[in-house]
Order: sequence, then C-alpha cells, then structure tokens
Amino acid sequence: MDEFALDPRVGFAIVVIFGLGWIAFGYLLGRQNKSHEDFALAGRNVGFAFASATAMATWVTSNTTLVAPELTFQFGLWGMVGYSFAALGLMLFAPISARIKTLLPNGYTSGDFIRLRFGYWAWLCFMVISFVYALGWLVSLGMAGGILLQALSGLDYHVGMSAILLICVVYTLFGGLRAVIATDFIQALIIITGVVLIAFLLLTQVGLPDIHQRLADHHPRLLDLLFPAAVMFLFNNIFFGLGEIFHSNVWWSRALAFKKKVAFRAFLTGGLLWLPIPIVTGFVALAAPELGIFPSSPDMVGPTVAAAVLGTTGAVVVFIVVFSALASSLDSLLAATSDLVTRDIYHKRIRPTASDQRLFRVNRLVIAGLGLLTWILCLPQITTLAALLNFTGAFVASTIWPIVVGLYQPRLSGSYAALAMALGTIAGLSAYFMVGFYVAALTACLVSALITAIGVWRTKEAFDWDDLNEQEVSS
Amino acid sequence: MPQHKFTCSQLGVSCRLFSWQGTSQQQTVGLGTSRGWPLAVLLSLMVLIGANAHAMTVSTQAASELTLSGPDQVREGYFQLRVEGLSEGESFQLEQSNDQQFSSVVAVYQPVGAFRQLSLSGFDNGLYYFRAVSDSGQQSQVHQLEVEHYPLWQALSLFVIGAFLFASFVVTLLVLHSRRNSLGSKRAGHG
Repeated sequence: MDEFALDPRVGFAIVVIFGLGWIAFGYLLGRQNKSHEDFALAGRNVGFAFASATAMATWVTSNTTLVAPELTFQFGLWGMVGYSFAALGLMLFAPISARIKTLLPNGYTSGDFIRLRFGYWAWLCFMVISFVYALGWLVSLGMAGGILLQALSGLDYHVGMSAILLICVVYTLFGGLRAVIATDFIQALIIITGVVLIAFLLLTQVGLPDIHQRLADHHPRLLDLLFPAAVMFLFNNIFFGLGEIFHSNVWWSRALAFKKKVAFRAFLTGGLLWLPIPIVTGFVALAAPELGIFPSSPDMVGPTVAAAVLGTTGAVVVFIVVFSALASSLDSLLAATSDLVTRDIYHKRIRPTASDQRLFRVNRLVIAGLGLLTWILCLPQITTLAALLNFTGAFVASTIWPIVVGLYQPRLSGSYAALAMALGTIAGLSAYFMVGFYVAALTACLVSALITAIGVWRTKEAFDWDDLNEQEVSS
Repeated sequence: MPQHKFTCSQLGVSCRLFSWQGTSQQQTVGLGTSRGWPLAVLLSLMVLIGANAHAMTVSTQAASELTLSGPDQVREGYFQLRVEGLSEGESFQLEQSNDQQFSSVVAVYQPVGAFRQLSLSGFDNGLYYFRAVSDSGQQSQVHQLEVEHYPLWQALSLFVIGAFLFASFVVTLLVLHSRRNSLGSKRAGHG
C-alpha cells in the first residue's frame, strides 16, 4: 500500500469546514448562557433525546474509533468483543446517575460528592486521579486527531492535532455544556450513520472466508479464544470502562444536567446504542492482513484499512465519523475538567466568595489553559493510544468501589476510601509495569475492593446524607 | 538512552512516531525549570509508558547500512519492526522465514506509505526470523524474535478473578440500589 487515501488539502478542508460549523453552533448556543450554572450544567434541564445522544456520542471517542481496531489488531476477536463490553460502564451508571441526582440535586461535580462524603484526603486522592485521567484522555484525543489525518492523508501529525484541539477549545469556550450536548446530538447522528455505512460497504466488498483463511494461516492467535493476553485483557477492559465513567466529571456533570427522570433511561439507551460500534470498528482491523496492510503504529490500523477498502469516498466518511467522535469527546472532557477545576479548586479552595460572573470567566480561562496544556503534551507523540489510555486505567479503576459504596452505604469512612484509591492505584501501576497494560485496571479494582470491604466492616459511624446538602456562600 | 544521529528528513514521517526515543531526554531537561517540573514529571511518566508499550531495542548503525530493529522477545504475539538506513524515497519490504539462513521466505510484508516501521500481530509461540530488503536489493541483518505467550493457567486465573470481581460488583450495586429505592419510597428526603 503506497498511497494515502485522501489528498492532504481535502483532509484539512474537511477539518476547517466542520470546525467552523461547530464553532458557529457553539457561539449561537452560548448566547443562551446567562449564569455559570447555565454554562456548566446547561441549566439542569436536558431532555431524553439529547441526553441519550450525548451519553452515546461522548463514549464514542478515539477509544472506539481508533483504539478498538488497535486492540482487535493486537488481541483478535477478544479485542473486538471485549472492547464492546465497555458499554456496561454506561449501562451500570444508569442507577448511579439516578442516585446522584437524588443525593445532590444542587451539586456541580463529582469532586463535590467526594469532598462532602469522604473529606479532604479522599478528595485529594480523587482529584489527582481525575487529573491524570483527564490529561491522559485529552492527550489521547489530541493525538488521535493527528494520527487520523496522518493515516488518511499523510498530513503532518502536528497540523491535524493542533487544528482539532483549537476547534474544540473555541466552541466549548463559546457554548459551555449546552453547546457540547447539542453538538454531541448531531455528532451522534453522524457517527451512527457513518458506522452503519462503513459496515455495509465492508461486508459487501471484502470476503469473510479470505479474511479468515489469511488469519488462520499467518496470524492464528487473532482467532484464538484462548489467547492468553487477550483473556487477561477482557475483564481489565470492563473495569477500565467502569472506572472511567464512575469517577469522571464528564458523566457526573451529565447526570446532574439531565432532567430528574431522564438520567436512568438516557444512560441505559446510550449504552445499548454504543454496544455494537466497537464490533464494527474492530472488525475493520481483522481485514488488515488480507489487504496487506501493516501499519506503522497499531492505532492507525482502523482508518488505514477503511480508507483502503472504501476508496476516497469511504475515506471521507471515515474521516468525518472519527473527527465527529473525537470532537464530541474532546469538548465534553474540556467542559467537565474545567468545571472540576473551577468548582473544586478555585471556588471551594481559593475564592469561596467568587461571584457567578467571576466563576464564569474562570471556567473559560481554565478551558483555554487545558487546551494549551493538552497541545503541549501532544506535541512529542510519545506512545500509542491504547498504552496511554490503559495507563490511566490503573488510576480510575481504584475509584469504582469507594464511589459506589459511598453513594449507598453510610458506613464507609473517608480514610478507608482514600486508602482504597491510593493503594489500588499503586497496585494497578505496579501490574502495568511488571505485567502489561491489560492487567492494570483489574489489579487496581481488586485491591480497592478489598480495602473498601474492610472499610465497611471496620467503620462504626454512619454518614449523615444531609451533609451532602451544602449551603452555597455567595458574594 | 541511545544516541541517535538521524533527522526527520532521513526517516520521513515515521520519525515523529518514535520521537520519544531520541528526544525525550531533551524534552525533560528543557522543562526541568522550577515552573516546568509538573510537566517534566508527567512527560517522564509518559516516556516510561512508551518504553513499556513498545519495548523496542534500537541499535545505532551507520546511516548507509540497512538495519532492522525490534524486540527480541514478546509475550503477546504482537510487535513492531523498524528499518533504518534507507535513502530518501527508497522503499522496502519485510521478509519472514522459519530459519536464520532464510532458506525459504514464508511471508512478505509491505509498509504503509513512506513509513519505515511495521506492526505485526497474531503470532503463535515460536522463533521467527525477519529481514528487510530495499528496492535496490540491499538486505538488512536477520532479526530473530521469540514469541512466548503467557501460560494459559495464568491468563485463566486472572479471568476467573475478573469474573468473580465483576459479578460481585454488579450484585452489590443492584442490591444497594434496590434497598435504597425501597427505603426512599417509604420516606421522603434523599436517603
């Protein structure tokens, strides 16, 4: 395979056209934001259609469009099927979201809950975990933008990465969560249509028996259901997905922004809509050996194969789908992380009497700062997407048990919650470096679960749920 | 840290993909000022990730000599092989054999576009031999790679632990949620 599917100018033109569209949309929606609460939580009034679409679109990200094929290329059938199990994270968050909405009707962030429920040390552990994860995800998304343009058009990695980051930062700056959710709705429609189209074209143009024969002859482990590393990866990926969703303010801010009875149904629907997408995107990678495609980096396999099979038109469709997926996640993460910094650090630790307008301004400054930091960290392109994402798995999986138990069970003290997160993360990182990325989240979750269980057993004093109703200080 | 002499123009686009190998030290030092230390720490951590993910062994060779580098042993059946020493615009193919003498070529792999590196996957336990052959017929040294997958008992043990942990989690969540719901329906308030 000697040629790129798209002319670099075509790739860049698509980015500019879509980018200007998203920015104009963000600007229009941003004019409705009158307060910080409007900007951060879209007025807490998001209905079912938008809620389901944003849940699904945000979860379709570089993970699904680039990492699912990468993991399928590396782990075969289990990579594809195992990846789709990450939908369980969204589905199991459905009851959690209803509980969050009940417990914290006026809450802003996941950090609010941890601080009020578990106290300072657990909050500190949680914030470190949240920032490592947010930066890891932001960097992976920025990198994915650059990789996508490079794989499809040969355009310089730095140009694609910078363009996608700039577009997302600008429209999130204008519109806040309202713009993020509205663009997610459109992006979800594009993603579903595009993925269905790609699957249809692939199945009509590539012969399944040929793919199977090639894999059986030259890459037999990709078809092996007892492939050891892939077997280890399966539950690791489930816990990674659970940890990502359960701790992240991306999902908490949505639970808080959705209408009261909408959150449960929206997350369940979002999960069901998401479930088949990694199967389709992952299947693409299995065709690579038959097509003679052996990418430079495994995270490039998805777009490279799709473009090779589907030609220039297909490459344009792939490009728009993946670009939409990246944008829908990048904007969500920028908005949610800036809320966390503005609310949990600036408002609660630095300036408790800050006015609503000042919070509004700080929130926007943080979005711009996060965009800049992400851009700097993306410049060196130092690892593959899967390795970077799964590194954060060691952190986030340690939060699953303390958060879930903390939401329902009053007998878990803050010190045990902090210990569960800290020791879980250390154990996960040890497994990451000593064994591989495919066991990090499982190990972190296991250690954290044991400490949480001991915490419930040893804690005598029950938490008073009314303590979660914090009175706001205003200037 | 290996000492690299290559430039981007020598390696084409692929040099960006592995710039961590040649430039990470420089990046860290550059950021190692009093204000830049958090970035330096984060970048160092990410360099560690890269090292762990790729486990590449890069040899330093004269630019004119075609060399093939990659891991000597892998546990997952996937790996990346990299070719150095090609002249500008020159392409190559990768050949695989079952013996060091290359008595027969069992598979041939082409790179994508101008990239100088290939990712291969799905290999079973065994010893594999690879060499790169340029358009002009120049051959690299033979690179020997051993694939030795984790023992199945180890993988299945982790699978069982994962399954047990996941089942416990789902049961815990559903029990806690339904209990709280039934309590919530009996009294007002959030608890």
